[in-house]
Amino acid sequence: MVEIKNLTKKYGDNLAVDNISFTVSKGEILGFLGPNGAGKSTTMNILTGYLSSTDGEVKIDGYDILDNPIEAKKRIGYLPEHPPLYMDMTVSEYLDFVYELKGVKEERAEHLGKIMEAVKITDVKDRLIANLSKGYKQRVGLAQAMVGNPEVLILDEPTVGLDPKQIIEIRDVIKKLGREHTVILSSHILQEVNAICERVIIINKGRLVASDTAENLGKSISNENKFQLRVSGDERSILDALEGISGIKYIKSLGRKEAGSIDFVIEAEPNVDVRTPIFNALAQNGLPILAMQAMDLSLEDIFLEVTQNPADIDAVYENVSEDEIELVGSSNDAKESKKLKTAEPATDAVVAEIAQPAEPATVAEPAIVAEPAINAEKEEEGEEE
Amino acid sequence: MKAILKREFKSYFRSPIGFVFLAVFFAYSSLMFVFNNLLTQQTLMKPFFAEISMIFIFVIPILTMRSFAEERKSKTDQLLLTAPVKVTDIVLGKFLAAAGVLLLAVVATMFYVLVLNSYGEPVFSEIFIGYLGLFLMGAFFISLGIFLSSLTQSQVISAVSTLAIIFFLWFTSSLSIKFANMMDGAFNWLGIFLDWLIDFLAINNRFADFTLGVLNFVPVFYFVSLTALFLLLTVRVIEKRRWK
Repeated sequence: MVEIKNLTKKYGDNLAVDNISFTVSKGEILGFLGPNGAGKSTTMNILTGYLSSTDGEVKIDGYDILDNPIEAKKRIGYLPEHPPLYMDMTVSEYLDFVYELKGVKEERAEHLGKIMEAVKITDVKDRLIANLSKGYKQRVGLAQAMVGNPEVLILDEPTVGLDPKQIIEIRDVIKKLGREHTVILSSHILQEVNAICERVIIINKGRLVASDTAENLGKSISNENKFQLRVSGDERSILDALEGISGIKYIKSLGRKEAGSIDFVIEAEPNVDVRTPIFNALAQNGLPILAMQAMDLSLEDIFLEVTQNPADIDAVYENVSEDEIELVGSSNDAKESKKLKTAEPATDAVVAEIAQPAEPATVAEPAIVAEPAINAEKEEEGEEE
Repeated sequence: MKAILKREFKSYFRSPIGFVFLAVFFAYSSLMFVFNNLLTQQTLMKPFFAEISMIFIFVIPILTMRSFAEERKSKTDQLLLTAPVKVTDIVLGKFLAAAGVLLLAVVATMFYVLVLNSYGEPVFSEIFIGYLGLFLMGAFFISLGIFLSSLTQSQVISAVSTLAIIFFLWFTSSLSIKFANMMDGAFNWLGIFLDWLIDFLAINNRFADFTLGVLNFVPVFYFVSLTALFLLLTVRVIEKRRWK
């Protein structure tokens, strides 16, 4: 349905999209993941014909977006990053305009009525778009993309600015749409992509770094055995108490978050449950645990790491072809787990090394990359503005 | 194209812009009508046309400043450019909507002709040709304004540059310098060229042809082709931007 081959886009010398190829088949929901400035919006703008690629080709249902733009665009519904709304129109006037603009053949009142019901904007249809809340504006934008029942829906961060209830509603709408439409959806929220998409593509700095089913990708990420700990007491004695517990890869101090206590991040070897030994060790030393929580690894964490060093991309993802990710998901030997350690949350933390002669190198590494990685991310966000 | 034309035309009257345009145009034109026809008690509308064309310098930018500048700024151009329509249709829709508002203004001033008709005997063919010229010149200014609007995201820059260029074109006709006389000898050709250029740009001279009461093909062609040229340039600018 959607075919992208060797897509490249340059802004001057700046390579925004670098040789991306993928295909999306009919009825598939594809998640497009990446940090801000990764090239998601640029790619989507090229897919929809808003921008032209420097190189490569895009085919929608066999129609090239450059050679046969009208036919290709007829098959696309697009919700850009900023919903393209005319603030001086009411919702129904606006949808009427989109209906006429796209030259839709279906019965107008019924078609638009159905769309407004689906995204739940019927009750605001006579209000000026300028006066709507961001969540409603986003939904009107989605409605606009659905006008004309295009076979391909391209949605650039469709749930941004919605409250949690609305997010769930919109996800349901998108899932439903996915039954009859091909949906390409971008996001920087892993959970969202996990919840909606069958397949996920991750891009960073314009390059495709991973492509797999959401399930496999989720597995590889949740495989990480890491949690956060808050212990009452002073740092030195806590670290002394924890010393010698086998299975801990490293302990990182996050400093004091609550009076009289220290927070730590602890990563253990996969498949080793170190929680009981930790509890016992601390209890024996009279150091009460105030909180212990498994850490969900966010996509942002991975990207902080990956964006740091281009060589890492190869190391972490590019070699992780589909079958390899599966390996990570199913088996848990030390070699695979190494791959995952790169997903270290970046903080300005001090790394406290605990006596683990087996893997001394793993301790220092994440801390070094942590801070510049944050800066890199910030810079990218700035550019986006 | 029809959808864009309809939306654009309506949007002129959703905001104050359309009303401001009409109000300024009517206020000025009625003033000119009073001075040139009622107070002088004549049915000849030539002086009226000569005076009224000046208001275009100020009101056309009002009409065209939003056109593409606003679309780009609010990113609504993404809707238009990803819809299954040609860029030519988008530009044409916007142009026709603005031209429609202009036509509304011009036609409404024909009320003055009715006034003249009830107290005297105006020559309708002369007046009609004058009105045609007024509309064609306005339409050219609109295409120029839309072109300048497509170059920027700022309505202010769009409006000011349109105003400046129309002002320049309008006043070149008042230049009475003859470069050919000043530049003798080797540079005579340059002087002749400059004179020709100034005459070509002197838009008011072309418009004046319409107020003589004879429909001449040359000024019609002049305005229509310049209008088409700037619409074409607008299409090129928008298509080109995708490749940046």
